[in-house]
Amino acid sequence: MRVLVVEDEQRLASAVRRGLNAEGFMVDVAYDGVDGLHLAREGGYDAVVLDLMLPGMSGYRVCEQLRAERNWVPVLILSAKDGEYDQAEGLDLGADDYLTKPFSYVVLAARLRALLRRGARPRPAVLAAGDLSLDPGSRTVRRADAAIELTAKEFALLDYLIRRPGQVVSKSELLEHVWDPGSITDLNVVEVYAGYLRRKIDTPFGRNALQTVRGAGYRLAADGG
Amino acid sequence: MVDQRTGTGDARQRDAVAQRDPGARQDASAPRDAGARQDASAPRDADAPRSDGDAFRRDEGGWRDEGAWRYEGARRWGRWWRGPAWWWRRRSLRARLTIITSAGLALALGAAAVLLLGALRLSLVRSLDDSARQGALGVAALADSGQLPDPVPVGAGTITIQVLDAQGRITDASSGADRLVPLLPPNVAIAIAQTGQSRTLSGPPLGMPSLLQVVAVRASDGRIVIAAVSYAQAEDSITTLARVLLIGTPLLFALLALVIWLITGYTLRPIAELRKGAAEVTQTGVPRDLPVPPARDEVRSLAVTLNDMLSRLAAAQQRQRDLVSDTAHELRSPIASIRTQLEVALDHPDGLDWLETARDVHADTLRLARLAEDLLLLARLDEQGLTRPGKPTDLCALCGSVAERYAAARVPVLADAPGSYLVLGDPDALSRVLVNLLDNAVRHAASQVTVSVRRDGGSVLLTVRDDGPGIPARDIERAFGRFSRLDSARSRTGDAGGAGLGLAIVRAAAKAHGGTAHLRDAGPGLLAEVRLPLAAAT
Repeated sequence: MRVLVVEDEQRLASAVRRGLNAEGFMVDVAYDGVDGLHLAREGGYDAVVLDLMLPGMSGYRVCEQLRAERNWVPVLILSAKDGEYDQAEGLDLGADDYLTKPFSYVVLAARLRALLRRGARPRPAVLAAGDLSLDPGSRTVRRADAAIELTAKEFALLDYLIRRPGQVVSKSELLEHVWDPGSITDLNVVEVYAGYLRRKIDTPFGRNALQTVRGAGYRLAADGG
Repeated sequence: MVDQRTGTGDARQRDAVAQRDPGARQDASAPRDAGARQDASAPRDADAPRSDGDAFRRDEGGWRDEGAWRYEGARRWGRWWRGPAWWWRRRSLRARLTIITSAGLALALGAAAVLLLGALRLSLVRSLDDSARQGALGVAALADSGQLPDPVPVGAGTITIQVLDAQGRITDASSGADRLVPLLPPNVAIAIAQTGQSRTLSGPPLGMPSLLQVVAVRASDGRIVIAAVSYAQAEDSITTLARVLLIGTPLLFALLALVIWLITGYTLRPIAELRKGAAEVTQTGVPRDLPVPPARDEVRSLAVTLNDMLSRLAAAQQRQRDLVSDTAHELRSPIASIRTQLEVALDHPDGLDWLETARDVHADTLRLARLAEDLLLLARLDEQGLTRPGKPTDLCALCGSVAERYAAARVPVLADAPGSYLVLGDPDALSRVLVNLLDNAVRHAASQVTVSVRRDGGSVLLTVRDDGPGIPARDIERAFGRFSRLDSARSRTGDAGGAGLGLAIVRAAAKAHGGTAHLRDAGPGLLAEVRLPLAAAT
């Protein structure tokens, strides 16, 4: 397993390298953001340990850039910034884990192993079907460049459907996952909200992303309709 | 006066006790339950050592012992006794404005009603006089021409005429008029005939139903014509108007008072909204904008001023938060480094170079110690300026001795400090200023660093100049910020860079010494200038 450590604290970086080496990882170290991004793009690593306050380019930008390039390498942010919004921002930009300094080396190694188990399958921070995109972090929905205002329920419905593009999802499954369990048992409510959603994401744009599959449920077209 | 004030306070406290625990008050009114009464009086006993209210308190003790009705009575008395000023101060602004305006309005309306009645009466009397005089003049003309019929002809019977001869006897009269007794004694009649005045007489003694308005007019042969007009109609008009005013004025007053109340409320609404906004700020602790009313009035300027203050507070809060988070970040980094090095070393001791590990950990520890020192120094400079009373320090000598320490630096440091200039200050803080500036300069210089001290008016100018790449003009002020790192390419791979506190300390120390610190572009390189006031002794 090859791991890239992007960290400007030279002694910390070499200590981490020594430790991970001893556990059988191949470790490369980059001391600034630009080098880090370059290596992460080209090096074919299985995981990246990324500091946030880096010379040249901040860890946020490195992470954002990697995800924008559809590079799904697992990223563990290692930072002395412990503000809750700092952590939320890092994770919403596509990082997989966040560890604040000072950290336990044992926990760092364990989290890295957990990340490696999960692998590098695509897990975009911003979900998309064609030109229809949904950002769960900022709770925004866009069709191409146009922002779309959705209510909480409409957002939850689209959120559930956009994670399974092109697949048919039954009304009862939607009712179960989008509404409070047991609070509503009438499947009509799903139809009503699907209608609302269609009026916002499809009708104004002359598209047909949210499709009704008779007798089965709904399908969100993978290409955005 | 002192006693009175204490009394007020006590009465209020008593109210507070009663409100807080109505049960205790009920108990207190039952003399058998001594314990509860004790409870009710506890808050007063708590501040017993205060001597100014002792006499009053002893008195109250007497009331308490005598029973509940005295206690209640004292309560009511106390409330009344606080006086109208106390009551007034506790009204809302809206209520006070409404009361003041309504009081003025009531006075104005009352005065208007009285004036109206008076004017009506005056004009009615005048018209009665006129009609009586017209009748009398007509009769006098008839009498003068000797064509006076008997009875004397009059209009619709509202006027009564008597004609007296020179001896005061009634010679002619209108129908229904007294033929024996004149309405006015002849001499009075002659007098008012001469002056043209009128008299008001009571009707009933003269056989008339109401008040009479009487005038007299002379005719030929010394005769006098007396004419009287009944007051009854005028009286009716005045009574009707008085009734209308009696009902109408209070109604009008009530309506206007209501309008005033509503208008005052409307006018004060922006203030109420300001208050609501401020209360939200207090509750949430998050300074945010208060609502600014659209009208360009005093309330608007108040809102704008308050918003300005709040945004300054918010900015200060933000700066403080940033500083704390930067400080935490800078402290955590070396600690993380030390911890990880030690943990890895302990986890994987095989083939480890313990000496190297010790050196690395030591370097991080030094960095941490330096950071802690810098932070403490900055905090001290911020808090109290100079830590010690200043003592005269020769800046030139200090400059020479500090420059000597840089003999082995990567570029030569040239000291140009002839003479001797004393400044009043802390030698340690001053030498920190020099060291920080020289560290910076040596780090960035291409070939050499020059440090100079010279006199400039009433101050000493310390300059440190390097011939390195300099700083873009837009970043120069930012360089003095805490934890600011301008050189984005600089990494902490070596120990060359500090935590970004060096220039912040320079500025804080200069300020604490009553001086200033600035950076400026020096053609190639950077020029740092620290200006300190010259000690008076030189």
